[in-house]
Amino acid sequence: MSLSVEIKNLNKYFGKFQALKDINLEIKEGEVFAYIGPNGAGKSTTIRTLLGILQASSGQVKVFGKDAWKDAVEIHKRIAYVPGDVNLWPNLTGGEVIDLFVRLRGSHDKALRERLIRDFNLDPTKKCRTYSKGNRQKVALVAAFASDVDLYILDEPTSGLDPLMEQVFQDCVMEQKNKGKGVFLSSHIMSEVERLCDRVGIIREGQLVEVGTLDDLRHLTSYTMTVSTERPIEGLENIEGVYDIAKEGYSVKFQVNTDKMGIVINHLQPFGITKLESTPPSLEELFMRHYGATS
Amino acid sequence: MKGLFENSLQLTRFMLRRERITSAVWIVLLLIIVAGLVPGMYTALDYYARLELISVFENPAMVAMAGPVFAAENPTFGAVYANLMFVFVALTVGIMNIFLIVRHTRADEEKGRYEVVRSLPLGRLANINAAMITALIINGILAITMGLAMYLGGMVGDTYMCLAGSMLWGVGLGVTGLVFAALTALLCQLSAITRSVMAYSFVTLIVLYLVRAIGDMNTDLEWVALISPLGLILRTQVYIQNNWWPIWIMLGTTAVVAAAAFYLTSIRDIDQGMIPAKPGKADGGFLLKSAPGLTFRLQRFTIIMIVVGMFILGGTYGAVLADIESFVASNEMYQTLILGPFMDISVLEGLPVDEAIAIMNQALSAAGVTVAEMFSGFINGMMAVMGLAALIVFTTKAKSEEKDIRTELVLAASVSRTKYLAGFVAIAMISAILLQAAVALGMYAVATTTLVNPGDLSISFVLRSALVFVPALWIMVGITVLLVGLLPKATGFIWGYLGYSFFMDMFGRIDIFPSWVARTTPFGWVPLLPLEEINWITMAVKVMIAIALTAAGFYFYNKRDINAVNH
Repeated sequence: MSLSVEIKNLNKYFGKFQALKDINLEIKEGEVFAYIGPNGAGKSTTIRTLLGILQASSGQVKVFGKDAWKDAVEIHKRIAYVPGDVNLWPNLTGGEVIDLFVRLRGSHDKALRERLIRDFNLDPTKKCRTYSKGNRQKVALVAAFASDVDLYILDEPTSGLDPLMEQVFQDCVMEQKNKGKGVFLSSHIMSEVERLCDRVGIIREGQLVEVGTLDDLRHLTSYTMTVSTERPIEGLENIEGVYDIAKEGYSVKFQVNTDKMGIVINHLQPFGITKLESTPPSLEELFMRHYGATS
Repeated sequence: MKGLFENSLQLTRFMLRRERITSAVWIVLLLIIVAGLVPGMYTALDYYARLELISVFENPAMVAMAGPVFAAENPTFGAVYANLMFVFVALTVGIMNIFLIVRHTRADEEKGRYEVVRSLPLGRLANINAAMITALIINGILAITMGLAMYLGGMVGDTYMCLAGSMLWGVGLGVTGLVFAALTALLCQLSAITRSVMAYSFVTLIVLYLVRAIGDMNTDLEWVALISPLGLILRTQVYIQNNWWPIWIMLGTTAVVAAAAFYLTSIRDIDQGMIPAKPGKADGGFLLKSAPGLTFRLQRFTIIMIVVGMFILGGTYGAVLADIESFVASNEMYQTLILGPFMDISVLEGLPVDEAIAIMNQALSAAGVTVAEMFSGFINGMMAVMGLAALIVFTTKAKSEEKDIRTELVLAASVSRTKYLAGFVAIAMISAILLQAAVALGMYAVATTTLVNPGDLSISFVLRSALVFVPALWIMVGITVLLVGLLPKATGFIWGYLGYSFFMDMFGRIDIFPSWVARTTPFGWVPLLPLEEINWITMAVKVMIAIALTAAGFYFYNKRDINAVNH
């Protein structure tokens, strides 16, 4: 399968400040990819480089096999972009802005546009100056999903939406995913990422620290286990990869590294297991681990 | 009721603090321009010059512009100066007050700052009350300092600028300011959109100016002029009769209008206006199909307004043309500018106007030109530099869009940078032609009706003398494009160069500088019609320089980061 995004050794400097450090990333066509990281980590800089709005200081950035900087116009025909902070022209109406973007991208599906405006519950006759942040985002989202493109680049697109609209947004993404369209989603909303995304990349201080499927990421971390047994458990603390042990009568709660799971189960067997619960770490916990790693 | 105004004074102090620079600059500039000019003008305007000036201003076209002449019977310097300046200075004070009130009421409300203030323990009318008190204080400071400055300025000689008259002049301006402050406060209640209330306020200002013009031009309809504060203010007849009754009428008007504004504020919701915002179009029109179309759509109203404005401005100069002969014959600066190239102007000194005109026309017709042509050529040059300000705004709009992070939205939607920037540049380049043509046509349209001898000025000459500036304007636009492409953070430089060009355009022609200094701006390379011939080679070179600068701007714009201005 061909790649929609291919980033090799990307570095980006603003003056002396290095915003991106040696980023390497490949995304397949039709893949929904989540790009997450704390504020100021370099998410938007990566996205703007993908869009050819910023030029890479060094390295290679390709979208659909074309150079993101040189072939920006060609690439953009197959892309829809929604920024996190949508700035619109105060004296144009939402409907006018939607039509502008859809036409500039070269597609025109009136029925789809009307359906999306209805789904997102947007009043297209209002001037953009009167829209709240959430409504401005809806304008950009309707303009994006009403366009017939192959890759959606969405930079925290739902930060101003209410839970109901968040659901509409997720449905739109699922619809595109089912049609085989790719999505590059930067987000802080973990439930959104968990539900929608095939793979996740975590960026921190300009470096891509982790890339993989949710399972891959979990594989590298630990599960929380709660076990009740007929006889008190002994010797658990001697097993490598087990920690945070908390005993409460015949019940024990502890953390175990994923690769030591088999050994631990074998060790527990003789004590007569009556109940066993194993919880994978939530994405939230995964992040906290990465975000807070060295700070 | 006390609760409605709770903490107004605290808020007033805060507003005065926010005003400490803006309003101080307005007041100081007004003092320098109005009172500071007095000593210089006094030496320039001797008794005969004043008589001549009065005869110019008694022309109906000038009465429409500056109001009736009351100083004819006893033309002391003070009387003439105050009479002819009052309307324009009062207009400026009105504009100052429109900005002042909008800034502290509707603009704050639209930006969401008022909401924060309202969450504090304040009365519902505290904000508008504080804004009006602020206007009262600032106009009060203006009135007193202006009165004293005029009095002091008048001490240079036999100006007849007494203290009572000077204070009336200052108070007159301050009270006119208050009327406009109150009117603006009222208009701010009408719409929730700052831009709209600003437009309402300026339209009101223009209407009041025109109402005054109608009343002043028809002696039967003088009462019409009294409807307008700009008409009332002239009836104070400062340094002539020193009437105070117009002041009392205007103070009364201020109170009534302000009360209406307070009432409307008290019954409306925050972020709302009395005129509900009407829904806009749900679909994009044909302009919103391309990036240049969007750029035009965003600026079309401004473009139309500026073209109309330039047409009117040209028309006002066309009106002046009727009296241009006696004007030039009696004004040394214009003699230098317009007659200098043809004759030794010192021979005109002390001559009666009729004789001066005869000598002047003889010299000019020997050279095959008319005063009207000379004057229109000169005005077209000044208008070119003024119109340039608009062209710079049209071009640097590309940068302000980028700064507001809207450029990336358009570029991300499959638009090349060249095409995007081209929209802004094309508008500026085409406007250069439009604005110059508008000035020329406006001038010609009025001149044909006012000129004693309409044949003195032909349409083809007026158009040529205006359009000859277009290549120079294009060079300035080219420099602006280059700045936007190469040094987007330094585009402000072009405004400095514009100011320098204006200065050079005004004074470069009266040979106080060596000719190469005047040629440090593109305007120094524009032939002065009808004095000089159009040299098509230099014209072509100028066009090529403009193209080269613009092309370089596009080249660098394609190579740089977008949004870099924000870092």
